[in-house]
Amino acid sequence: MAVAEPLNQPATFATDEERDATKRKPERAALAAGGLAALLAGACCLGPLILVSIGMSGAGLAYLPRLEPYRPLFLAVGALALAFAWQRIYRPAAECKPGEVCAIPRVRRGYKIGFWSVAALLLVVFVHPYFAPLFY
Amino acid sequence: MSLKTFRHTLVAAALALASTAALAELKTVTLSVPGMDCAACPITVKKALSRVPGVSEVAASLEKKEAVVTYDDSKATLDALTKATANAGYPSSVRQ
Repeated sequence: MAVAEPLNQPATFATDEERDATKRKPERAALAAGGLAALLAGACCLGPLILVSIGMSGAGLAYLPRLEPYRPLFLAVGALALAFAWQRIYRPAAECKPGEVCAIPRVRRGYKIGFWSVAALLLVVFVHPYFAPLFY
Repeated sequence: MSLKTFRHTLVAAALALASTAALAELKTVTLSVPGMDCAACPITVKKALSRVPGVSEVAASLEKKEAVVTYDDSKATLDALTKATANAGYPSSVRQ
């Protein structure tokens, strides 16, 4: 699984607890890995379409369709990463140790938004082949 | 020049004009696009070809891996068509 680059952390935290929560970040890594996997899974097929649509075409686009054979792999990795993130983010707050992401409502809400954003991206990448024929 | 010859010349000129107009009319070509093998690919290829000036109609087929293009050959060239698909990620060639 791809290791995610640490994202820019906000400079200020309401409490020490929140700062600790952003330090311990298996959830963040899982969401980043899931998002990266979704992007890679979509790169082969939706990539050229989006780039051509916004007018960015070029010979380099020929590399993108070569990712197509790995699409199922990327989808599986993305789904696994999301399943892990789900389990971390949505477990009952009572089970969370103080300072963990799921223990602080404000931080937890942010992770929930992140989770559903990545889930939506992965879903679009997964189902687009079934809707593509409508646009032929 | 007699009136008859003049008429003949006129008719010939009209015919010549009509045939030049016919030369600039729509042509249809079938492009073989071997790399077009995903569900969204035909949409991409169609979009890329439609953007070439002079192209009036594109039908891309996933099963046959080809695109049938109708274009005005006074505005678009075959080279421009194959270049357009290549720049969208799907190199193509004219099917004979």
